[in-house]
Amino acid sequence: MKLTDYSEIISRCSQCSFCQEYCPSFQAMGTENFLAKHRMNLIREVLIDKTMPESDRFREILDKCLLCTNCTRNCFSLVPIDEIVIAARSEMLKNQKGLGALKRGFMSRVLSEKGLRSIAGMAGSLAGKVGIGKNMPQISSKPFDSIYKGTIKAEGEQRGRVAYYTGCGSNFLFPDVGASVVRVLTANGIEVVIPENITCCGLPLISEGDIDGAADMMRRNIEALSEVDAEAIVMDCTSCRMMFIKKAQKMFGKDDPIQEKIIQLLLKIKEPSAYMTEKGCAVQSKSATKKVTMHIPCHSDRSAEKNLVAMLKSSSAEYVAMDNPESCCGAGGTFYMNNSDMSEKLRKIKVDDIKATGADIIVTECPMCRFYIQLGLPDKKVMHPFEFMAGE
Amino acid sequence: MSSIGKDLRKILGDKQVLDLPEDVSAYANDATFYIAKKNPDAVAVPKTTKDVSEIMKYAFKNKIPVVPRGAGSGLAGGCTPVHGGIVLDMKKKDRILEIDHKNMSATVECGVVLNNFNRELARQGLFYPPDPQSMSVCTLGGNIATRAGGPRGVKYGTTERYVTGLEMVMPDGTVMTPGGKVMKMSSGYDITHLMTGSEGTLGVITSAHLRLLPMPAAKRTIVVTCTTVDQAAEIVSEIIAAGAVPAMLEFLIKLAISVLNKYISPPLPLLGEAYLLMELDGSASQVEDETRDIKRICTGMGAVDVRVVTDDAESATYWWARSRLYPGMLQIFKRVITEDITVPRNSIPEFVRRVQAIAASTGAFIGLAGHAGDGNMHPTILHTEISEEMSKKAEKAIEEIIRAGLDLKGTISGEHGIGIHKNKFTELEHGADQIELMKKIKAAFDPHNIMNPGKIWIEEAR
Repeated sequence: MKLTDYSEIISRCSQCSFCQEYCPSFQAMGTENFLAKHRMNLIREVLIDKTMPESDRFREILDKCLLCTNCTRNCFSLVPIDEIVIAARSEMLKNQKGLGALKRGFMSRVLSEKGLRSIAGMAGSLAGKVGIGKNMPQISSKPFDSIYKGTIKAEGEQRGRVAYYTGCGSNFLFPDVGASVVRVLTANGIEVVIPENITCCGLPLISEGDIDGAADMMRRNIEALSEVDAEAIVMDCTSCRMMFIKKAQKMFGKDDPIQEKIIQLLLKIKEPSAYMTEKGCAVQSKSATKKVTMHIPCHSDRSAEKNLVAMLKSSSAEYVAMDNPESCCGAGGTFYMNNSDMSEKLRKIKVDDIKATGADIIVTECPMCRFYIQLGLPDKKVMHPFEFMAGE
Repeated sequence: MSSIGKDLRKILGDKQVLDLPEDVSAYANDATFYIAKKNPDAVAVPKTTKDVSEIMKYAFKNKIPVVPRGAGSGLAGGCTPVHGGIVLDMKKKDRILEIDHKNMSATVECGVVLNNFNRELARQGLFYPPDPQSMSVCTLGGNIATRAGGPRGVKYGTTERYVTGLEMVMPDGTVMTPGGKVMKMSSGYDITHLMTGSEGTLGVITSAHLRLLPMPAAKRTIVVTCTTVDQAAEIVSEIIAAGAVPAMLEFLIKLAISVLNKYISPPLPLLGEAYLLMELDGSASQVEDETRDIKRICTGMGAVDVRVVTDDAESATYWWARSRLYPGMLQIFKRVITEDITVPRNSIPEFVRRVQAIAASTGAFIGLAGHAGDGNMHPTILHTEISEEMSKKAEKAIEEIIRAGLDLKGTISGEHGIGIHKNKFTELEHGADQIELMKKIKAAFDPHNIMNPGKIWIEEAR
């Protein structure tokens, strides 16, 4: 994933401008300098052809990309725009020192496993120093993996056995989500094993351009998950799934022996409700009758929603689809911490769409979308679909 | 920071002006970056007609070129600021001002995105037919400025048929409102339609009154597989001659379908060299009758397969994929140059033959697609590499295609406009006298030649 590897692919951009329909950065800012297409132009001019200097404005325009991947998913010329932005950030990270680098590296460390544990206490002060950390999700004093370990037995007759890859969101920020996933699975006869030695999927690191750091984490994950004896690996976070399914293979050389293990794992990685549907489990919510709507996170591969919507519809609650469920809420992982103007504009649109549904409960798979939407919508309840299923 | 930028900030405030090189380079070209790109000195983002008027007064006084721009998705270099100056990014002037059911008329600002407009109309059971394939991003102002069209041209015509009135700003800042909501008008020169298709060379279109239609009750998609390109062209001619009027009648070669098949669900078996993609619309019985007629014609002429798509979701995948054909071809080719020659409809078979002959003689790889139903073909020069040799071949092929189109009494542009892509051929099409008249008209509107200079014809040295 070096930038030079993309120098030919980047020229495939036809400048058709169709990314205007998908780029939240363009939509929030309203001008073409913040459009996905223009990032490709600038990256070529500044970092590949070197006909323009690596200016502050260039960095700013690049930093205003949320890495939502909406442009990439919809690019008919198949330009992997998000990967090119990541490769460009990596290139810039090499050239950067001082507070800028500290600021870049900060969130990477915050969400890496060891870092998150040790940084929990000092997060406030360091975050304050680099000017971020406002409105950060609280790190739980009782992470999921301090409570759940090893194998959790199925209730009743056993139908299957899965490994639950617990993302940082469900482990550190919202351990109730992890508990709900386990509760729903085991109640449906699925034995759950919590794999040892897993770590963050690495997305926060590649977002900051730390490709090598992310690859190290991914390698550790792949090795750990390959050891687990389970018929499926369930992941409750859209971004974690994207990292494993879409990005993992690209993080290593073609001849790296890890590739074989990745291919084996790809067959097993599933969204939990999809796995339950395959197993013929009755996916039902115990929630009291309420109106519920769903926000689709940008990193969703658009396949999990079918099962989740079916689940919502089969519950006693009334499911109401919101307008533009796929539009970005503005969170972009930790993006909102540095770009509140832009993020708040996007969130306002999302919140208006949610309010129009009259729903009391909003479900969404992504922990950061959940946190950020909740901040903008304090009088409603935002939760993970599995918390909803488990009866909150 | 350019002095133009500084001046514009005084007029508009900081937030509506861009003048850093990293910013203005986003406005250096449209989707034809390979023809020309040039940074403007500054980009102004007006939100009101008054903003536009103030900018124009300033530009007029200082003789600064001004290039209005919608989405920048054009295919002719129409909004490329070849002389620098000010680009007017009109996308923030994007309100739908009125949808008037009693008059079947809508009043819109120029920056409204076509698909956003369509969505709002669909909610109200209304229909605005023009459908340039960039409809997901292109603006109504840009559509009007280029007389844009698309597949529905065959039944519904292109943008100019739907524009009944405008609000516009003259180069000196004067605001005018030619036309109106009336269905017809014989009063004086038709300034509305002179502006429609003027490619930003006469003034700035700021809002428009658009004619609306009721949403057709029924729709149906038909896909015809043809053994050869020639056969497909003959079938198109026959359908037109038989008096059938599909809402869309698209011509696609196998290569195009092979790219689009990734998005068509379920994918279409590749059993022929050419394909016709049609939509019929109207009352349910009308659609039934036309389906039967078209099936009979196609089968009678030896089509391999005539597939009537009854599932709406499946139909939608065809049309969605079709709208992305242009960027889609970049999956295979390094560069794609799309022409929009339009010939009288009975000449389609002959035009198709000539294009094939030109491909053979020039060695250029030419793809054929088009809104064949209205005679508008998109011969597309597909580059397998970026090289001087390839560019020369392409240039030669384009010139020969244009000459073939004109020889068949066609026009060099059915819907994209001229811009800088074909400005050396307009005199060939219209003759020196007409170009001279066009220049006089421009001078009457724009005495300092500040409105989008360098477009439509080859300009004399400035």
